[in-house]
Amino acid sequence: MPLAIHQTLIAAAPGDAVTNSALEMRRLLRAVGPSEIYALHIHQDLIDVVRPLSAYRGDMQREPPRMMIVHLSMGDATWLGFVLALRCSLAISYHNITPAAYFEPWDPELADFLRFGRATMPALAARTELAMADSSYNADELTAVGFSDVHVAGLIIDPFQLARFEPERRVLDAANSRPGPTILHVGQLFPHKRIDIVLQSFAELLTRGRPDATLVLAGASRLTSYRRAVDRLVADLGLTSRVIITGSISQHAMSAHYRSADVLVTASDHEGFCVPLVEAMAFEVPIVARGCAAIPETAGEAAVVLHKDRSAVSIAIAIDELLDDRSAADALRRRGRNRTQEFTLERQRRRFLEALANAL
Amino acid sequence: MKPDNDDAAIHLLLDRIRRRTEREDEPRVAPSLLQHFTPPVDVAAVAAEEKAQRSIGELRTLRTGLAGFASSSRIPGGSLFHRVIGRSVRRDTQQLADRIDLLIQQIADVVEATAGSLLELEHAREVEFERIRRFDRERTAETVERLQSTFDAARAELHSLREDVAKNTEFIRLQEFRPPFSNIAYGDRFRGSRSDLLLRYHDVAQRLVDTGGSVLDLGCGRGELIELVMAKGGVARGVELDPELVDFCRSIFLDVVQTSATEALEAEPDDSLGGVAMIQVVEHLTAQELVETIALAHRKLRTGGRLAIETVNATSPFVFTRSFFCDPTHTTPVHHEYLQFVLEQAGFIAVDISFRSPVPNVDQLPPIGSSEPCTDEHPNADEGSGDDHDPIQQLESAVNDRFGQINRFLFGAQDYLMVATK
Repeated sequence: MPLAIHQTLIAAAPGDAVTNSALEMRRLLRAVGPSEIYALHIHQDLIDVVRPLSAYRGDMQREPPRMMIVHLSMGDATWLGFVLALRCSLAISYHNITPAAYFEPWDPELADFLRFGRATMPALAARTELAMADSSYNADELTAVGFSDVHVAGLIIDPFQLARFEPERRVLDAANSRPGPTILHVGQLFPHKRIDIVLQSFAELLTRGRPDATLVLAGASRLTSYRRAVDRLVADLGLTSRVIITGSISQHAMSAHYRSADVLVTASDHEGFCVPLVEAMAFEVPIVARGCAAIPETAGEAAVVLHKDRSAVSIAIAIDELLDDRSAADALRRRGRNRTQEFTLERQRRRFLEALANAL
Repeated sequence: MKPDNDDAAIHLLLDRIRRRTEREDEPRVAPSLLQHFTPPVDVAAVAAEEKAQRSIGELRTLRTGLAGFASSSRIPGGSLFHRVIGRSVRRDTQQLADRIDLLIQQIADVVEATAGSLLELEHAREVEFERIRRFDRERTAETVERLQSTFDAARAELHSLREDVAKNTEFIRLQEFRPPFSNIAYGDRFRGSRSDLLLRYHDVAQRLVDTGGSVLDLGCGRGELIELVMAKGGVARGVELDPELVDFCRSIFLDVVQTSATEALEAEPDDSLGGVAMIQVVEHLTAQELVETIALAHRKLRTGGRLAIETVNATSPFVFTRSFFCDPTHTTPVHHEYLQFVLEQAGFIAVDISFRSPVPNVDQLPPIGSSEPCTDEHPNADEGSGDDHDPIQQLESAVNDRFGQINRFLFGAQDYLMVATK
């Protein structure tokens, strides 16, 4: 008797960590039975790979599922409605739902969705056979709202995936022609990423003997109101000529940005795992981070992790010191390289399968 | 480098960072989220305010500078001339300076007031913006709720309307034909006068009265059958779609309502009626309406009750050349064998049929040698028995036989009456 285990998520996009995890899980699940991924929004490159939510009912008439793995990240009323109406048993893969307060001033509707997402978690807990979380930080959040036996598993990412993409030549050339160091921030421009702190620390860095440094903010900026505020702050701090905001870019371009970075910086208030840290380790880029949420857990000993109360000036100082200290930077690179072994595909697959075997 | 050295290198780095950050004594990250987000707005506002204050300050200093110049007008030498010139210059300069001071004072006041109100305006704009945003969200929620309830009400309304429409389809269909002439005039011309009809439906009325129950006449027209039933001591009511006919019936105190046959039947309790009459009605109905009305009548009649249906005889070609198409509201003729089948299927046990309204003789083929039409019987059977073998008479008789057949085929009775008992 084959085991039909399907997955659902809000948005499937190439290069997205949750999508990649789902695809990897599907590869594993198809060894034991039929397995599909159902998504509300599907990037056009994945149209033939991921199925739309609307196909679910028709599909299920042929094959009733044993279990649905629900990838819980952002909120969306339509998708949560779909999830809550499912009749099969549920497995939750929790990638963290950003607290709504961060989005309230910028996009109240999105904030409502996030609030709704968190509000539904206790209801999901009651129906969940298997709870998985990307980090112990996420696991604690699940436990707090009523999930039990939470496994730290379910995020299956290949730290070296981006490194295998041929770097975009144009990006490399532009980076090589810059005289000073390149500070890289990877992630969507969202309020909880605290781009304001990143920019202020970069402004501090420029005044501390690094006037020729460049800051690259690599990642999509879909929240236009926040993007406008970021642009305004860049102008107010006089950084216009020193900051590059890439917007949504290809994996080739992202690979090139990692390759040409001297330091990866993150000031985020809230991360359930923080994939860029692991990617930076794979690219051997030393990291300076504020130690919020799951960041200390993911970074381990392989990064300069500042106390979460530290802000712009401390980050600037840490970057400044790191740029000066070649032997410490090299040491951090080696530690990062070692740390990636914690996140090898093999280990993550095994963790996922062990968790799944427990529930079946 | 060995791991030990790595540890040491990193330790040194972290140590340096710690020392420097402690020295810098930076402000901690403010706990309030909104405060985090305000820098993009505040930086601009604070910068604007500082700039305004600086400009005002500069204007004030400018004033002091001019006053100083005026009061320190010291021309070297001690001669009277110099003193006189000095005083004069000083006086003129003083006046000029006072005027400039006054002017600057006024400019400074205006600038200060303007800057102040601009900042207030900016603040008010932010407050107002926030208020509008909240108001919008509340309004949106309210509107959605209102729309939802309106939508629900509309859906319920639509549902009941749809039911009404289904119920009244027959009514509406028959109402669609609105000729500019009176139905009473039409009836007088094509149905015969009231007294004709009173004579004509005597027997029908009797058979309905015999049931002992109340009679409902569907499509009662000018109410002749109702009158007949009442004259025979029965109780009868009528149903008619045409408002003019309804008014007429009411004017002669008959109990008639304007509604459709099905609706009138629906309103009756089951197993209650003694008789239901449909005189010249079924040819107006669609096939579906016919079976439904008959089934409904069966349900409403009590056991032993009778349904009397009179309609045109579909087997008589004469009917279709003379009368059937004189009524534009006729839908289809109903064949008596089919109607009998429908009645039996509806559960009626005894179905009795009689053909009525024979075609007047004048319209039929008269036999040779007679002005009387050829009928079933040999027209001349009783006369001239001794001439049986007269070849002329034999030919006449053979032709008249054929005429009889043709008459029976072409001039069959115009109507038939079917009385079915439950």
